[in-house]
Amino acid sequence: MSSRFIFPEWTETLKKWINLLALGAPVYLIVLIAYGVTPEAIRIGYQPDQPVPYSHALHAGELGIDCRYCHTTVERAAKAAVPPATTCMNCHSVVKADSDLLAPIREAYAENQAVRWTRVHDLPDYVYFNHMAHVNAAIGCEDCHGRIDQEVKVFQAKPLTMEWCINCHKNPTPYLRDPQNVTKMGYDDPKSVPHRAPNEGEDIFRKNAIHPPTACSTCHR
Amino acid sequence: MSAKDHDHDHDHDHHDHDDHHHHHHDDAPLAPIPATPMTGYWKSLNEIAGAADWQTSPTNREFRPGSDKPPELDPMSRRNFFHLMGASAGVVGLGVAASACRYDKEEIVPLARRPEDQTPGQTLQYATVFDLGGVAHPMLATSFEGRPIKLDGNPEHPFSGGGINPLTKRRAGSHTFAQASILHLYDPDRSQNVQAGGKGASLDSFKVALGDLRKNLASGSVRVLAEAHSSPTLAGLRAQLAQQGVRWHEYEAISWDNEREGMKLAFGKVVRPLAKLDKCSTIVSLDGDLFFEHPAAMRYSRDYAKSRRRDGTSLLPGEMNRLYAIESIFSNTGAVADHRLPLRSELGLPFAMALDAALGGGGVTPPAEFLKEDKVSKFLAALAEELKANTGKAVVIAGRRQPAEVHALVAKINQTIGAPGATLDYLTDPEQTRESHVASLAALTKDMRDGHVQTLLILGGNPVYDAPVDLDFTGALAKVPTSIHLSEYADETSEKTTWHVPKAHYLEAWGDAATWDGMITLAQPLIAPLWGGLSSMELIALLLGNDQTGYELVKGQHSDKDWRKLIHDGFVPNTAWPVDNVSYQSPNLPAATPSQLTGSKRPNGQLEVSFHMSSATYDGRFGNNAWLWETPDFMTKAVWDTYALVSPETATTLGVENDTMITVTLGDKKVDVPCYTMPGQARYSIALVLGGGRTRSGHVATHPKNVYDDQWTEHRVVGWDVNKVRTVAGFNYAIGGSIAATGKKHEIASVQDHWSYEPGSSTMMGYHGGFEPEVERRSRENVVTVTAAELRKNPGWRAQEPDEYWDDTKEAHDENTPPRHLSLFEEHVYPKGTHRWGMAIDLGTCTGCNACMIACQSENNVPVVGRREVIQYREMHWIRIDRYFQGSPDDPQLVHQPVACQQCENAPCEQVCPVGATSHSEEGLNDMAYNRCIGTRYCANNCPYKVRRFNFLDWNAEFRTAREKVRRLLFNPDVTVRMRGVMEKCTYCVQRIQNGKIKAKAERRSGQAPGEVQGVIADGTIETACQEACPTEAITFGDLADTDSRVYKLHEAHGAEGDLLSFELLPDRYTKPRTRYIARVRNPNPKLEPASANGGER
Repeated sequence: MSSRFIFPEWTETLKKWINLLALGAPVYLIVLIAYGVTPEAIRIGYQPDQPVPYSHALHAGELGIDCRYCHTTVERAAKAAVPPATTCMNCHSVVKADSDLLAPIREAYAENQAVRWTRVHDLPDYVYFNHMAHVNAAIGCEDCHGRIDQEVKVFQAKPLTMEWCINCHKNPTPYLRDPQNVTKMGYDDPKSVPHRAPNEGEDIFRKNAIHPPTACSTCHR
Repeated sequence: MSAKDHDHDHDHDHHDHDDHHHHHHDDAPLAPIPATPMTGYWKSLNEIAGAADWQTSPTNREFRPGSDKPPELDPMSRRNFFHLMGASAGVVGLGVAASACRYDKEEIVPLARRPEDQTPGQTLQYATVFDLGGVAHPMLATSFEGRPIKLDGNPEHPFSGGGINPLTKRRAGSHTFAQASILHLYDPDRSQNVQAGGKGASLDSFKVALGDLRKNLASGSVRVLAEAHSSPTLAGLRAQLAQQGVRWHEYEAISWDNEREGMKLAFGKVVRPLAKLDKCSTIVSLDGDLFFEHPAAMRYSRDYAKSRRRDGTSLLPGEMNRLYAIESIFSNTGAVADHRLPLRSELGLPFAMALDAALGGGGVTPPAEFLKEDKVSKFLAALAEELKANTGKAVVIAGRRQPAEVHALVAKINQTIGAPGATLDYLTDPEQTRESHVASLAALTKDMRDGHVQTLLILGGNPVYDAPVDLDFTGALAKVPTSIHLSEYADETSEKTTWHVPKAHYLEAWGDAATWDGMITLAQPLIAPLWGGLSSMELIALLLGNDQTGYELVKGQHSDKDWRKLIHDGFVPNTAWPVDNVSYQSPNLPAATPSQLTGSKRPNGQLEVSFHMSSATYDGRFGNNAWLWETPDFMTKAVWDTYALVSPETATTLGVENDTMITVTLGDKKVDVPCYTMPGQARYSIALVLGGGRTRSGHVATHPKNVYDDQWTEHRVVGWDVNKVRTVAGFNYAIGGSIAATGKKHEIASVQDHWSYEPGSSTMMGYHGGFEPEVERRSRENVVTVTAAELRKNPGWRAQEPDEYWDDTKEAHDENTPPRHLSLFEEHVYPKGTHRWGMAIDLGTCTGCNACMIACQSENNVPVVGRREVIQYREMHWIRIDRYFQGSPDDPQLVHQPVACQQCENAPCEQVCPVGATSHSEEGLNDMAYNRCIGTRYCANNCPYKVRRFNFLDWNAEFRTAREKVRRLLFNPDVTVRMRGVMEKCTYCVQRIQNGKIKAKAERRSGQAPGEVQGVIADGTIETACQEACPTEAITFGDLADTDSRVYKLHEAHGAEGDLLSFELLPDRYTKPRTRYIARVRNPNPKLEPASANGGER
């Protein structure tokens, strides 16, 4: 008997698959990586831990506190401003005054030290976003931040890419709303009160003289 | 090859044979200087010398020859090459991996208790005071979330604020020292701890030592040597010290005490002359600089420009003032003067005597030979005639270098021409008894040497470095057992004292000071001392056993009721010194000395040597300020150096030239400095620039890239210390100097030939093909001047016909018009209601003071590159000030021209960017997206104005080190910090435009402000940084779509007679720039310059 090994016949079909795999794997990998590095894949859903498990779902959703109660500067400054500990203590010196979860806030308040929150919606440093410009032009909070009122722990809901920004700057009408309702969540849901009226975007576009610039220096300076 | 090419290439072109060059160099004929005055404008002596061979001239190069070679690192072996390649492949791999991750985690750190006025991300402004040599400069400091980031003049201050144009909002200029002083705040080289005997010590131990000292105050052996101050709070503490027997000495290396002494001679008491230039028809500056060096320079600039400003509606030639400058060095004042007479400082006295005699003041004209020279006698006669005719409308101001007698004589002349009360006020100086600075220091040093001083407290200043050399202050200091030095930096003096205490920066401490008219101005801190540090007043209070803080000390001077308003406004109203109606006492003034009676020429050995403020370091105190060092001097355009200024004729006669090292000898004192041949410098007068050669002042002055010099390796500091030849007798100028070439060379880094562009030349696209004949024929100069007389005669005069080079309508519609320039550009269309930003720069009021350059650097995070890189043409300033001479090199006229990005309508840069990193905005700006730029440098190559700057290296690399990290606090957060390999340029401060627009729109949408949302933004709401800093309002920015805006009027509107004073640069390029220039209107005396001699334009 010869010691020579002969592949069984069924391996002939395997060869076909191996060839296919050898050809297909690079394509698969390229597609996988290409998708894997898109902002949609890596940015959306970013949900870092925070020093205090503050729930927007509770405060903004269930209790219905307006965004501007805490983010006081959103209408008059570039930054929406995370509130100082004093704002929390307005209520929490009475409500849940002994909660362990709120200890960092009480500590910050007592010692006049900052609470160090982690930024969720993070743009590159060469991008200059301005809240005042958008809120006064009647773009809703949820258009960029998503349904904050449903988020127990805040995460990034929109891609925040340049393409995404520019799409709206080129055609802002679908996102414009009555300036009174900028902080309203679920505005496009016909069941919510109030909700988007027919032609509301077009009306605001005219009335508010909306002209979003698209030049580089609009955001890059 | 011309002579010029040889000496330029000598240092740098290593390809050529060395011996050939050395040989040639030593015997090289000196740069030929044309004998006859030239008609056109020229930028430098190099240009004149190279004019015959313009194509290869260094003035026509984008890069320095040889700058294509790799930087001088270790030799690149093949092995190293593969190492590097391997490493970079690794970096690429890591980069790909890293790009798939998120940005660095960022934190949001809100204050636990937000102060009432704070809005995160928004700036706030506070009034404060920059104190320079004891004179207050009222400032407005911009603070971003608690860190000061920008300084500007305080527009509300009555002394220098308010502005020129009543139609615009109140504003105030500021000068470079004030603008740049913020850089010191975050300088990690600033002293950070107390030192005793050269070793670190604690503040507490120092306080204990002060306690011991307090017990000895009455012994009479304690002295204070302070830099000049005008603080009422400190004066109060000083009086308490005096009561206890402590003598107070005051010294400044750049001192105005000659004026003080002159007033004592003239009036028997100390008064301070303050001219009202806005009331003057004729202004005469005698050897001084009114617009930069003078303590009231911001006020004088403002008042001078009032009758020279342009609204676009009126030329006002009849009301225009006329400025005469008689001076030894070419100053800012000489540059804007209608007539300038270069005259050695020593001749100030005979000149003033002759002027007095010519005015019939009772004096006698001295028999000085120079007065008989044609130019001088004509000048004098015309000046005297005009002053007589303008009685009550003229003023003469003498500079600080002139001796007391000249100041007294000038007071007499002013009396003769009816100045007091009309154009000149004498203000009552409350400080009547103070000795003059030099005398006081001399008395102190004598007592120190005689052992009468046991303790010396030095409050600021740096006497070991800048005291007159013949006082031997250092030797005397060694005899003082205890010496204490309070200073921002551990400097030369700190090294020799037994104690050193860090001084707080003025933005870290409470204080007060008086402006030149005596108005009390308040300083408030914007930040707690970064590294501890005491203010002068806190130290003196501690010495007196008074433990009040600076805040309590200053507040104690004012009523509680007014305090908040005072600190908000920054000044105490109605505290300016009252006018004193002094009368002239006819003192016996000395006759002219024999040396003053000679002619203009002097042999070597009898030269005048004068001492001159540095535009970079003042007297040396800003020695560690990289912004100032890298800002080109107004006149020489040199950076990172000090030098001796020699007139071209003198240089040729004495056998020296640019960049040769010379030994300046005065008596038995010698110093080596490089020579700079300066057109317009008085003949046989050598001007030495103070403030260089600091041996202990921090890293900036001793950094290898700043002191790098292949010819002179033993020199390890920036600049040259000329205090080595400055004596008590020759404090301002000395006679009897000689110069000799040492045989060595030192290249003075100068930007005068950088970024050169010529009308009619084809330097675009890297092609140095010289002139296109047709274009050259029709080309104009880059600057346009016209005389007021010419304008009066020809009211339809235009600086430029708007349609001379291009006319879209004609080209498109008129077939009979021969085609001229057919545009290859697609024209931009601006719908109605779009802002169209534009700028106008008035050459007539620009004094070339550089304030715009530092303001831009501060606003736009413009990096500093260092001396070595400047030599490689790599400076990064977004706005430069081009300097054009006209006339003969020994007595030229000069025009300054600030040039930043012209924001072309048809921008050549935009056409060539392969990635669209620079593109046209909807509002007509040439936007620059730094994050998109890949650094092809094609745009810079294609820019006809040479205004784009490339980050050849990572200029901000050192900011990442632990030690230098603190400097990042100074960055303007509204402007991206650029990285290596990125192109950058002026964008008309687009961050200010965008923020201004956002604010205006938001206010209108929310109903807080009236107006259409997209409508016109009120003129003046948005100002660029350069515009805000300009003391003469020469820069106007605004919306060309708004026909009421000033910039529109300056650009477009014709005067009543159809005149158009604005012109654009390189109109033949069809770039249609958004920046236009206003022709310089000069107002020469027809007696000195017949109208026909100057046709206004060439």
